[in-house]
Amino acid sequence: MLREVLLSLLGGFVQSMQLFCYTLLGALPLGLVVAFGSMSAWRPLKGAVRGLVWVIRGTPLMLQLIVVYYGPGLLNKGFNLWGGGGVGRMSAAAAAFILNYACYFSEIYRGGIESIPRGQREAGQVLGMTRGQIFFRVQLKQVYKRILPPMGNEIITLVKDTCLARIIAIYELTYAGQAYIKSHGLIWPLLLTGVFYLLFSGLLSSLLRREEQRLSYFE
Amino acid sequence: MAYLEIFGLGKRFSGVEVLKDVNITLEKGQILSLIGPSGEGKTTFLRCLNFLETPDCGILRLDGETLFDASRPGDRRADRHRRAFGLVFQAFHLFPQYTVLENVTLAPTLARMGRPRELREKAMELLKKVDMQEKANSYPHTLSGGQQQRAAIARALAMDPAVLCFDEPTSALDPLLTEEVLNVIRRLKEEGRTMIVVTHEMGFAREASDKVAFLSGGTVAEMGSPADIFLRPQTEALKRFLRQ
Repeated sequence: MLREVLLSLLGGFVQSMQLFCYTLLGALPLGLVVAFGSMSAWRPLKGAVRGLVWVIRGTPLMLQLIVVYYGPGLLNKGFNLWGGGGVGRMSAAAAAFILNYACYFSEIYRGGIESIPRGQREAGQVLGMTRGQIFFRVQLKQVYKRILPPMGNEIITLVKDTCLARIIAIYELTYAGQAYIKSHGLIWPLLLTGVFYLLFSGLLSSLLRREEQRLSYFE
Repeated sequence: MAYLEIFGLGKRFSGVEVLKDVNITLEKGQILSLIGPSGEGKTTFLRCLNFLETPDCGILRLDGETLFDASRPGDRRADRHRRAFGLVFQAFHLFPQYTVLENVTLAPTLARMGRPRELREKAMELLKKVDMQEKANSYPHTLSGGQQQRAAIARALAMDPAVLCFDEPTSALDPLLTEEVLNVIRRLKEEGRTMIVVTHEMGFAREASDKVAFLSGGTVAEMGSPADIFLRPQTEALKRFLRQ
């Protein structure tokens, strides 16, 4: 029985991990784009981006998930944006998660970028560096160091948020564990999923700590 | 014709005139000290020279070449001549994630001013000049303020600016560290570097500079040799300032 449960939970874990990885791969760069949008000197763009961030951060991720998955088909009868089956559901979940997390990340990026003293940029300017050089060679690493702790928080939250994907019938880890309550009247498989979450977030925490340590050579 | 010529420089911030009709000339290899009360435009003037601010009016000429003319539309957002000037900040602004040596080599490397090896050797020479060669591999946060400022001077020198500007380079330092930074500036003068120094160190302005300008109310109220300014002040404002 344990073997069967473990295999089933592992299947759910793989689904959760897929969503986790897609979200990070998409949201980390998209968040930077959103951050630059929200700092834009062009007011319409800045306003639109900040409005989007307000809506996304102000409504539940589960709601967004449902809207992203069912919305396109309901708005346009017979139109299937996401495709069928597991792949379609995973694509929709990834899209909703990426959008949601990009907005959260963008605020962290913005805070990090705005916290770098103006003198750093000016020092680069008077040395004849271009804007791109100043961003990539002077500011980026300082921003990275500053945003690492809040980013770590969000990333660990993401591990646990993946369980929301069950609302559109993705067979993720929590779902896999809960299934045994219905089918066998067993609670321990569900508790066992907690161990999976704990181990994985523990691994992430220690990686993040290592990274913070690596960056502690400067202030 | 002087080496550096500034005519009618003006700058306003949201309607407030911070600089008006600033006229300054400076010969090659000379030090100009800018003195005057705080908030009367000294720092803004240096920031205009370095194109951290764009002057609203005025002409800037270096060695006979017009670098900036506010009436030429293309110059309004120009910073292509930024490299004619260098600036050393009051608060140093070293790049914290780089060693002292990397701070000095970064800009010349990005500007492709030479092979990495040559640039490193040149940087080591500059660090030697400011007496920082032993700290080449240290990170800025491990250094004293005086050491950081000397590293910042080496970093500015690495771009070999025609005119090196200092914005109150010792205001963040205690007297002992102030002296080591001022000594570096004196040494650069001996090498013939043209410099503009905004300073509150009246002793330094009197003894080290070739020319002193007194900025008051956003304009040059008085300019002359150190003896003119300190021994024979003409305006009431300067007399009052020197009494303090």
